[in-house]
Amino acid sequence: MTILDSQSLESAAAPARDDDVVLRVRDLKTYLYTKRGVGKAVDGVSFDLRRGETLGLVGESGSGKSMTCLSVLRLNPEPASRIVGGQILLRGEDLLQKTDSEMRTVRGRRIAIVLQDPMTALNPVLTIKDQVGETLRLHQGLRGRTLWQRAVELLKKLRISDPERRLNSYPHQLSGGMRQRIVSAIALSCEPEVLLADEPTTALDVTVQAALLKLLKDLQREAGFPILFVTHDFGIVARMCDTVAVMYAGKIVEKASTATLFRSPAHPYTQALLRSVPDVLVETERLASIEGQPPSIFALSQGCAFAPRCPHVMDRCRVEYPSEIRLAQDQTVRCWRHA
Amino acid sequence: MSGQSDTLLEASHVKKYFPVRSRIPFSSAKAWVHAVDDVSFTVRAGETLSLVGESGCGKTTTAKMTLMMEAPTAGSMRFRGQELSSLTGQRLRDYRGAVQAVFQDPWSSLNPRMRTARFIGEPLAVNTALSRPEIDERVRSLLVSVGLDPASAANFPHEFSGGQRQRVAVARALALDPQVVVLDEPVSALDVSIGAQIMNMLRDIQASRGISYLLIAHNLATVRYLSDRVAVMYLGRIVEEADSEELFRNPQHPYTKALISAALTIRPGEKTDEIILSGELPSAVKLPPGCRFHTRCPFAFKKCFVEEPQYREIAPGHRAACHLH
Amino acid sequence: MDARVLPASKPMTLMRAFGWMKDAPKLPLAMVVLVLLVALFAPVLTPHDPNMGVLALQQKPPAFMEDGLFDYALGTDRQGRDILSRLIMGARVSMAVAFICVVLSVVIGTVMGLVSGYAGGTVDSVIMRIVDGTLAFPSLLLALVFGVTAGPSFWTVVAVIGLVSWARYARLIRGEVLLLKERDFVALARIAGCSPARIIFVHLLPNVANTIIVLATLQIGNVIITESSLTFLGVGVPESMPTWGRMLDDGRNLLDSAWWISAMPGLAIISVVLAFNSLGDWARDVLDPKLRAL
Repeated sequence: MTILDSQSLESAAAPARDDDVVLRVRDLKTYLYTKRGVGKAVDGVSFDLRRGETLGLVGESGSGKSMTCLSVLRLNPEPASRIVGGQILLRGEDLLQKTDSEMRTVRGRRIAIVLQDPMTALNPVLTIKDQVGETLRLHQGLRGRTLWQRAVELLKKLRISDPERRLNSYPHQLSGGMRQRIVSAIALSCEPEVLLADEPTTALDVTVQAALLKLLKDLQREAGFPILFVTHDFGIVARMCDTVAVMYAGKIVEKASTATLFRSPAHPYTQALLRSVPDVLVETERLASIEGQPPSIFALSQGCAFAPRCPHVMDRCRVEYPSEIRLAQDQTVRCWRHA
Repeated sequence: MSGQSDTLLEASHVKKYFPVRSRIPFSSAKAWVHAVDDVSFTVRAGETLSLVGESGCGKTTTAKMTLMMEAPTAGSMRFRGQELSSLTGQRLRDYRGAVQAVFQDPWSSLNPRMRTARFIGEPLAVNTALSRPEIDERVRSLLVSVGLDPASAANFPHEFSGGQRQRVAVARALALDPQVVVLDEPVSALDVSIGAQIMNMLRDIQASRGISYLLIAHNLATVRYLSDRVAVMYLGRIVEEADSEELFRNPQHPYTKALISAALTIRPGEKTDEIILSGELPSAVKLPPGCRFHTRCPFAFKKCFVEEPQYREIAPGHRAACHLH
Repeated sequence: MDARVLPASKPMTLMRAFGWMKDAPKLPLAMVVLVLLVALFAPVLTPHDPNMGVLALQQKPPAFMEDGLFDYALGTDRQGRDILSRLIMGARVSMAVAFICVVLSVVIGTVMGLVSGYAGGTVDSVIMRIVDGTLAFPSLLLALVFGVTAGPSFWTVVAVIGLVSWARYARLIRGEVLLLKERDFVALARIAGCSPARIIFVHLLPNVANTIIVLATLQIGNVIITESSLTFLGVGVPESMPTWGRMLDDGRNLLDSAWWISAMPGLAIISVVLAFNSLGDWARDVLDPKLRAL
């Protein structure tokens, strides 16, 4: 990585002050080790997450966005995958240098995560009270009456009606949206410094999704925790995120403030992706579709991974991976066209 | 509209209730899930009708009834004027050929132990007297028409990506030259760029073959891109129906408005009023009295709590069930 | 469009079939082939008459031990019969019982399981109650009833084992079918106009093949052991037919003085059961198109 990289990571949203940075990821590499060989699932990803900021990590399946998210908590599936390089700095402390037991105090308390499927995130045989209570007991040492009161308070904050009754129910008795709120309640129970959200609304109905997104946004406004929002949906980015990082084949190919990205996307992949989504508010004549398929992370070439599908491909693209190019204060791109 | 000659599928006042087992053993009191509760629509030749709604609105059950996977509890379902439940023998086989389906999950739609050629050719093998080489020939041309390499006919499903599997599923649905294809969430399990490929392919196929689609979807953007007409369903009933452009430009029912507001757009400038629905979807066993949307409707007034709104035409070709009109 | 990236898989040919055989575990494969050949040609392979004892040669140890005779390589039993010859003859009976029983229970169990799972409703309830009854019924009691009424014979053993063991197949396969039935390809088959029989045998059966194979290979070992206990109870195959189970039982009381009488058939049973189990594992992988590609 060049020096340019670390400078370029300055977020678009806020005028950059270094003490604002809560989570700083530098040149993160997580590789998959399988019978087929080594797959570069996450290959040199860097970003900063500032107080109150929401960064959207966008990409299609296999782009490495979820693996990046899991790697931050060192929850990437072992031994199939290993973090082989980089730094994950939580307020300056490198999480990759921590022991497993130190990591356990980070997970849940300092960095919380909400995953896609609320049903698997909850234990079906325990009541909501047990599950919400567990984190509070473990990390905050609450017991008995105070524990109960804190749990009720928490559910109220997540706008869950009738919290006393919900606390005594089991996960299957709740709707999907309600379950995801419970999961979020657990995640936020210890007032984490960072919230990781891996497609938290994908399994939900649209109106339920809208309500949950608004809720997360409101809670963030109150508490100021930054969110790393992993999604494949540009609609969610438009509604939730201040900054966007577009991932393709394990690398961030473009990073910009949300408004800039939608107004003037610079990477051919981002451009094509934006033109391939229909919109509900305007009539679409015909969607652009990207020919071909994403490359296998097990067989990446020297050059730009998007080159085989890129309409603007040049000779240089096939042999040399583009370095990060700053287009504006709030936009960087990895594409030789802009060099 | 039922008299029109170009009407292919027609549902009138269709209901589907599922019994729920009582928790008390041997109790005779039966409760019913009102999955579909008095739904009427028509699918005309060459057009796409969409049924939109969230989970539990009855759109999938409706699709299953058109595919004869479920029998309606009441009401009538007709294809070219013939009652579906009365079809037998050759007539039934003809219907099977005329109405086919593509489902959401391309991993579940393909038989993992069946090679592509056999999978796509199966409807032909079962319903026609074509010989094996003739079927193989048809399979090859079907593969080409969905944008796949004919050489992939020997592949097993696991050798395909999600988008390719969905193409295989479409090829099979087209094998018998159907007049209507029921598309149940055809792109919601796919990546954005792959979904765009499949949607474009579906539009091209419709243009070249003149078939009709009955699209079941929850994503309004997909619906807007693919449909000519849209019917919005809530708790087993159609609450609004109009031509696609009319419905999206000029939604009348509060639920439709909430859906459109909740749909995520990447054009923030075009944003409409934000309507966030409160509360939970009521149980389909004990339906709320009056308008079934009143428990969550931001505009509900007294009348809505007691009287069920009439489903009627509020503008030419635009119908809605709401007391506000 | 996007298919061209993938090479098409070649159709299955004889060459490819033998290609997979190359990956078969060598020792188990050799073992199974050996036992099958021995069973097939047993009458010409036995060095001695398996049922004729020589009184002077009772309980002779195997050839590699002191006092052992080269002519009776694996020693002799209490009646002076050659253990090797009896093992060879026994392979024939044991393998025959095992195969017939497995085929019988696979066929009955698979059909019952498929029909039960696919049809559901009353059919399912009836079949599953029969399965429950069969599994709950003490099989030894059934064997005794059979043995007493029909007399001990080869076919009694086969009938008893076959009648009891299909139920396990039926239950497991029904469970799998209940899951498979929810997959969309089954719904699509109905929409394409496939008959229930076609759905069951063309769509569902190949998808439960793995389970059947694993269960069948495990059952082969079970059958050999069950056969020996039936023989022990006196309702098994008649005295004149040597089986591995009977031989095991013959040496039961002489374990401290003439251990080889039980040890030789015991070793034979263990190695055959292990061989079948590992072949079963391999066959399951080969039959799965997904694993085949890796």
